[in-house]
Amino acid sequence: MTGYVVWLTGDRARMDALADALRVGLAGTADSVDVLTAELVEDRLCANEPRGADFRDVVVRRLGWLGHLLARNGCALVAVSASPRRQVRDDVRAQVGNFIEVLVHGTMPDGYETPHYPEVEAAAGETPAAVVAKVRQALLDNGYVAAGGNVYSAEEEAKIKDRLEKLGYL
Amino acid sequence: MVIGLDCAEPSLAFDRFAGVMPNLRRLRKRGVWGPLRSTIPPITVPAWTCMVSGSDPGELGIYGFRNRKSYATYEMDFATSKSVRVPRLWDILGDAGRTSTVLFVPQTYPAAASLKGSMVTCFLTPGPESEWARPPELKATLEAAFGPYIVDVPDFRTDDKQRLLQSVYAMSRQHFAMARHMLSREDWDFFMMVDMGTDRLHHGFWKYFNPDHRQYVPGNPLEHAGREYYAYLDREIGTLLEYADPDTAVVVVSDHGARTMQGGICVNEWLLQHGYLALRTVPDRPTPFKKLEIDWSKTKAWGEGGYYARVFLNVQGRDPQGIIPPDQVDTECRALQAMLEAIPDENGKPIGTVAYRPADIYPVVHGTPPDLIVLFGNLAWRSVGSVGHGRVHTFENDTGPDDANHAWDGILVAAGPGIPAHGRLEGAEVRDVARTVLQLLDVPPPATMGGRSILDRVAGDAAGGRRDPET
Repeated sequence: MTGYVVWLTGDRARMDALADALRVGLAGTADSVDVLTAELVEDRLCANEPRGADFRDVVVRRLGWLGHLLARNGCALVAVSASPRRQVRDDVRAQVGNFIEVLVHGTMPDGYETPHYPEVEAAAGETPAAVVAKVRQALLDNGYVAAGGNVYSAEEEAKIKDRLEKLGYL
Repeated sequence: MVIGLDCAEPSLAFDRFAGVMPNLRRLRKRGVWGPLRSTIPPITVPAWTCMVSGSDPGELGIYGFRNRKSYATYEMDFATSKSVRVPRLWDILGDAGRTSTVLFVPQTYPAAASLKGSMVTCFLTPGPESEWARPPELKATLEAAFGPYIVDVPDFRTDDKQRLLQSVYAMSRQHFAMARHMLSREDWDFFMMVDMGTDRLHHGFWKYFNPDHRQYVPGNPLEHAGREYYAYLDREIGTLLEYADPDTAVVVVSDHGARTMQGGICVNEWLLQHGYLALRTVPDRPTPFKKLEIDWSKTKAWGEGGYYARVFLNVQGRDPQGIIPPDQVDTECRALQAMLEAIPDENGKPIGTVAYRPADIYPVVHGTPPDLIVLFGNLAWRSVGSVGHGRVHTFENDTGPDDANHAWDGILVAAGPGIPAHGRLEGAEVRDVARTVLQLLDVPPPATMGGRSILDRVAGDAAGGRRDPET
């Protein structure tokens, strides 16, 4: 099976409920589905790290590295981290490859940098079940659990191609 | 405030139809104006993205609406908003705390979640049912006021030209009305909209109002369609200018111009005739490239249709079934380049085709570029991708009639605070617009941004004593 990482970013207070729902809702899509929080990584893997300006980034990167290892071995990880810095998240995305970013709307941490193109957005007030459905679709669309498209569905792609041909562009 | 008019042609806006464009003339008189050199290739995607990012197509890795996903496949993929890996004006301004309203700008679908401001996505939106607005609740607001979003002109290939003309107007009227709505209700530091109606008018009606087209008939019922549309555009521009206070700089631009299309060069038919393309069965009627039975084991090159051709070599170790040894690629490519440039018209007369190798024209080449970008007749002829015509020259597009091709120069008109009443300016490029906007808004450009501010060009021009006597 192909592994992947579902990365929750944004409002930390909403994430635990979402992560629980995802652990259940994504069962069977990878060899295992685990949830790991930035706090746990900080406690177990970063206890002796100096609390400098980039400490938060170090924690996020280590969480991402664990996700990379799990995904490489066919497992899924739901990563729970406010992870305010876009560049750090993008670095993790590049490292992992099979990466679904879920922007959790709500109360954002100070200095939060919104992702340009999160695969999924969990709107304020949206139920965990609805978010699970969107994540499942994103996994399908990105080919992490089956073949699928990217921006356009097959029907939409045919529609756009026909339009551009008629307009003379193709 | 940037008002984009896709495909607006300088010889029409500045000369032939200038008399029915008083608002544009007033802007020209107050500021700077002239031709705006497009990108190579001069096509909507990637030209608008180059304009709002200061990049060139090589840096973007985007060479047209569809690009090869990688050399590991012959398949093509659409260039969407997600394909753009460099910051665009609204990204840069958002990081600087400024708010943008961005409407109908090509290659903005899907809208970025990080946008600081509002957006209506472009004609690459699948349909009115799609998520075409940002923030998402804007969609319901605009639908309530203006009805379903007219993403583009429906049924473009039709002989019912009166209906088509009405459809062009219907789209543009709705888009300008949405623009006024947004201007009146949103707080913005940067506003930009692009009208696609000009492009649709040119491709659908050029032969009716341009005497140099071989099918032009004097006195035809649509002879004034071009003049009337440009006059209409000018009135719409006038309504937008009412929202530009004295502190607002206004820039009117197009991504490329338009010119008469002489006909089409069937690029794959030519490659077939010259032994570059091998087919298991040669069709006896025009057949789209994707439906051909290609013998890749004997194919050295293949091409794509459109307003220009992209030609790919089939290289060993690079392409799935490549046959050209890597050490012969350069020789093969240069030979093919010379042969394509020498294709004459149907009477054997030279047509002045130019073929570019991406590495020769872009400082960096990202993505999966074609081996050659070919502009037949220097844009007087389009590229036809289908095979089965039985000849190289055709006067019907393989997807229907088309009157106009793109031209190298679009338009530039800029006026307002910080912009001197300079008159005509030569040498401006599409890529200059991003730097110009940032300079006008006093926001530093990214270190990697290309282009040159129009204001710097004007300063250099003024130092040299150039002025146009007309203004």
